[in-house]
Amino acid sequence: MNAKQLQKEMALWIVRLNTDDLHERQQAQIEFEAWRSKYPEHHDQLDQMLNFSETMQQFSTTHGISSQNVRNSMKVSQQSKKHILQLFSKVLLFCVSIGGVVYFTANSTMMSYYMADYKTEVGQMHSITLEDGSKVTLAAKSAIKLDFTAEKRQINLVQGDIYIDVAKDPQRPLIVHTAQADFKALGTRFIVYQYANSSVLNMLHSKVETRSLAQNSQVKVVKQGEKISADSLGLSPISELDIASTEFAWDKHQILADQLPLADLLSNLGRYHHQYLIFNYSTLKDYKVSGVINAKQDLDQTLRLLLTQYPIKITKLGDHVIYITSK
Amino acid sequence: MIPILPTPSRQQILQEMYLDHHDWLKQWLNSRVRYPFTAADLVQDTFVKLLQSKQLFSIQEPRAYLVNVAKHVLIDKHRRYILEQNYLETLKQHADDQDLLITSNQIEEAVVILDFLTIALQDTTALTRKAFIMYYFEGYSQSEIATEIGKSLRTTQLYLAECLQLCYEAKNNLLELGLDER
Repeated sequence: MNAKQLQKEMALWIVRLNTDDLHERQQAQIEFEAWRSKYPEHHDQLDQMLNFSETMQQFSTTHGISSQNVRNSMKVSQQSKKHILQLFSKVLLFCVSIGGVVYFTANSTMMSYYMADYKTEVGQMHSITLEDGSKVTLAAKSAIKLDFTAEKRQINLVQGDIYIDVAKDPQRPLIVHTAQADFKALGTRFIVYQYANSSVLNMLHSKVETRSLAQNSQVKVVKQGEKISADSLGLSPISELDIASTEFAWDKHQILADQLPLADLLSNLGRYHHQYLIFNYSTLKDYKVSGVINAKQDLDQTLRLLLTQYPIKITKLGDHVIYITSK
Repeated sequence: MIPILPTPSRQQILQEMYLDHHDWLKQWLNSRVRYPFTAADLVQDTFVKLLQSKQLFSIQEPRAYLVNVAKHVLIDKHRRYILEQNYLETLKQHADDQDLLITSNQIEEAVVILDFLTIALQDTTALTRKAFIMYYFEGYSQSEIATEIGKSLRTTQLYLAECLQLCYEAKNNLLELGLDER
């Protein structure tokens, strides 16, 4: 009997001896005793495998590995291999769009990031000119999907922030679509920021018609020098903004926080750094941050600053995982 | 006396390969890899792999061979990287503020676990995998699984045994290779 064959037999014994069917189990026990006395030299290995099987049953509690996690892992590791093979084959060498190393999880936003038409990597900013002449700049780790038809030009903001300079086309209105609202350009320049539960419009030139996707389908026209935020409840009141500093902040990767939920700030910072920030959105969303934060500056420095102002605790796990919890 | 031409030693072949192709390989990889991987690391790992290669004496096309080794090194590295991202993403969604349960060591272990699970199960059928996941990660009993997948208890047991053996083997292989090549 070769090693593999032996392992297979032992695996079957282990499974059979652990069945919930009482009758089956008794039968297995009887047969197993015969096997056991026949192969005393394999007892050690059998014990090892039994141990392994029991350890494996505990992975969900000992390491927080869920069944969904295992399924996703199967999926992504196959994608990963395909991706690397493409990287090594000459034909497809240049087909990797703006994104570099592509990864995603089955988490729906991550999946849509992967499927997006244009996307940027951590810390990158990228400008593109669309077929209609409109200029779009994507902030770090941002993604858009285009839906251009004869009647409309729709840009779906999958994640992150975009700055857009719209080319005029009276026949085809341009709409930036987010989960919370549709922003219909009436000829114009503006920025849309997508956060976890809200999206924010900053008007830099001309005006935009904002239609809430909440039940009340509220519509408000936002003019130059104004901003509005949309969430699942509807639209916020319109407030004023400083155009020059907004443009400057965009260019310099600054976050102009005005009562920004701490959780949104952290997600935003995460898009500029390779460290992985883990936090609970709902507990950190109630702390509001105001001020100018340079997204690209050293992350440790920024976090230390936040630490002095908010009741949070920061724990580092190894080099690149940072756990942020409230005290 | 006829002088015997000395056959090159392992050491010599490696040295030559290193001198002749190191820079070329690094450049070749430079245009292809991105964060979090670097061409320099990859070249290093590729030559380490080469050190363990049994075919060292029969390599015909050194560059093609090196690229192929580099490819497999990168496939492994990249898989672990995305498995880690994927795992962290789930942690993020279930981040519980009350207590910090996961340690950095556990993250590393979890990646190793997910690594050998995916390697082990990659060629199994969907039904086999379903049975495996239900049994080991969702706490279903064997008869419940049999009903769910519409197979006999015996077949279900064969599925589970197949996976158990594959996982056990994959885990041992991984340990043998040395877990930490990252």
